[in-house]
Amino acid sequence: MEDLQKLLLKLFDNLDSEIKEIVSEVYAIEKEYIILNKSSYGINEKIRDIVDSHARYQIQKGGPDEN
Amino acid sequence: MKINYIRLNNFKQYYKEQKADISDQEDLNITVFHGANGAGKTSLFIALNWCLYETGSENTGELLNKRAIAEAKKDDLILLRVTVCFKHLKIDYIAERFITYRKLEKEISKDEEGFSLSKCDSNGNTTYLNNPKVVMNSILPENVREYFFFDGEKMEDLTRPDNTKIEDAIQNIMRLPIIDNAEKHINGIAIELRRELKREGSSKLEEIINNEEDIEKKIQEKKKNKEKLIEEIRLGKQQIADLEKTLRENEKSRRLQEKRDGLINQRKELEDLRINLVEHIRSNATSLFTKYFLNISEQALKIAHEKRKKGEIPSGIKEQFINDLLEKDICICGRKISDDKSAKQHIREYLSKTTSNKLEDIVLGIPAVVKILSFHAKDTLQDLEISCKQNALIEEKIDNLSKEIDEIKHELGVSPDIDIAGIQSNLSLFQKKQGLNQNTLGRLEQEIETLVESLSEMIKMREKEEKKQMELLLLSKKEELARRSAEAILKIKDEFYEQTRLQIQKETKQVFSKLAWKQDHFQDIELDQDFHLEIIDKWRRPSREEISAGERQILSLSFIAAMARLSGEEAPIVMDTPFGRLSGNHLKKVASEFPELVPQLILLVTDREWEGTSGTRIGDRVGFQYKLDFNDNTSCTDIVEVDYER
Repeated sequence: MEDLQKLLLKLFDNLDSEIKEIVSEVYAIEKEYIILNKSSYGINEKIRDIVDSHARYQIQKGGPDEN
Repeated sequence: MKINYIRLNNFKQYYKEQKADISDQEDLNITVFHGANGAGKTSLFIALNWCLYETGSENTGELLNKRAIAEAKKDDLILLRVTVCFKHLKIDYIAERFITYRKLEKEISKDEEGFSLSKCDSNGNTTYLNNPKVVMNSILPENVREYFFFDGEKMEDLTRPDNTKIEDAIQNIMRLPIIDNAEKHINGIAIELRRELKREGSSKLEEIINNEEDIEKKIQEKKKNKEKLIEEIRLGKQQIADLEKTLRENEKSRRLQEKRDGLINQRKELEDLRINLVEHIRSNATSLFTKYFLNISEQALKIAHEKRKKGEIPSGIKEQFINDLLEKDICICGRKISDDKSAKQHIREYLSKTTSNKLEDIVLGIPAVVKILSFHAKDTLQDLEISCKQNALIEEKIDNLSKEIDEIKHELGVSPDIDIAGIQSNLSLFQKKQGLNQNTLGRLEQEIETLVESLSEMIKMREKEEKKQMELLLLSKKEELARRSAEAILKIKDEFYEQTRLQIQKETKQVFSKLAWKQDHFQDIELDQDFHLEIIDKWRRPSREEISAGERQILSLSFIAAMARLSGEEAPIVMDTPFGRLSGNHLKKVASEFPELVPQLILLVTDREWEGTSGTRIGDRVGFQYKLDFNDNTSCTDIVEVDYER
């Protein structure tokens, strides 16, 4: 049976390219906070920065992230 | 993660250094530590947890080996250390936690402590990691640890109906809080961004652009008009210049023409004068005709005078006068006529001798007429003479004028007459129009200047608004991405939760069916939306509350095995006294089946438990077997490897 983390990655892979990177990065940050048992203080700023950088990139390129 | 070995230094009853290799082969995935109660199974279990997570040692007494303390001299340093070597994703790690104590007079004091995690490459080089705790947590999170390293005697707690440990386990092992938090945070950010967008979203850009376009259009129109006007002015200038040139070139002709026209006018006036003069002469000449009848008139006057004298024609007494006397019956002397018949008769005779009234008037008027005629004839004659002289003079002048006109005509030649006045009129019109055009041009330039200023202002406003729009665009994009990400994460979460639920349910059921001996009685295992685990009996009734402690342990093991398989975490299962509550059937089934379900199994069992597994398949998978040999004399335990005979 396939493990569920792989299923999760598949679900991420199926996301629209415009948001795949954002969702993955947000997930990675949340994972880091959970694993390190950190308080969620400051996490919103980090997520905002992720969204901001992708939005700027997409506006500049006139489309979704290439990478 | 698979453990390679564990090494203890002065940890609890393990005096000095004790080391045990842990089997990590797929087919030999079991390492067994067995010993009597109090031999040190739980200490080993604590050592593992303490080393990797600095936990599990609470309320378990001193960690430092008492013999080591006792043997140390004053001021000696005593090392307490647990080392765990493991492999994770094909990388070898060494985790080491230590405390050094200093021996005082009677007591000991903690001198130094630390935790390190190092990575070893294939050449044996070791690299110490900067954040050992962080790395360790990323390899096997602390909150997941308890589902892999667990006390078998407490295992059944997992599936007790009065707690939510199953739900917590699923949440923690499947790392569902990560996705929950991701969804919660990104959704919160999307909401914040939406609010910001709503607050900042009232843009005037469209209106400004429309205004700007209108102004630009007006400027273009006015510039076109200006160009047309400039062209018109240029043409006007050209035309004026041409006309002025024409006028300059035809100045002589103009003057001749003017002179000619003046002469023609003069001649016309003289001709008119002559016509009147001729008429006057003709009239006077007619009146002079009476002059020839003047003598005849005088003779007629003489005859009339004589006839009056004779009484043949009245001597100035008019017929009406006599009639009036007769009618009034009064004589001119005042007497009444009727009284004297002869007088009345005499007067009547006079009346009979009078001529008719008309003739009488003529005759009476003749002398006056003759006198007037005589008088006028003299004047008329004089006037006629003057008029004739004047006429001759005028005729002479006309002749002269005609000659002069002819000369001018000759001089002007055969070329058609140039309409100098017309040209001058046109010139005036052009000059007037040129003036108007210049005024219009000035006005247009002023209007264009004003419009350009407005446009410049509008451009500044637009640039400002565009900057705002760019910020809005960015804000809008951010909101869109955050919203879509939140929606996507929510969708993933729903899908992942559902898949997690279904797969754990399926896997737990499969494992449980292998481990439980009452297979017919327990028909199904259900995991609801809230991850509440339920066991369904053959009557389709929930029976989790009714199952025995051993069955609960089986259920717990089934759930843990399922979770271990599904989580993707390759972690060893370390079980302290796992079979304590299991009866024969269950023990045999678990011993036979469970090792095949997990990647690595470390069993800390009592001798009795271990004996209970004899005859099962567990023996086939044992890689290392250790006896925890407790020495009564030293109160210390040695880890002794036992050759295992399969």
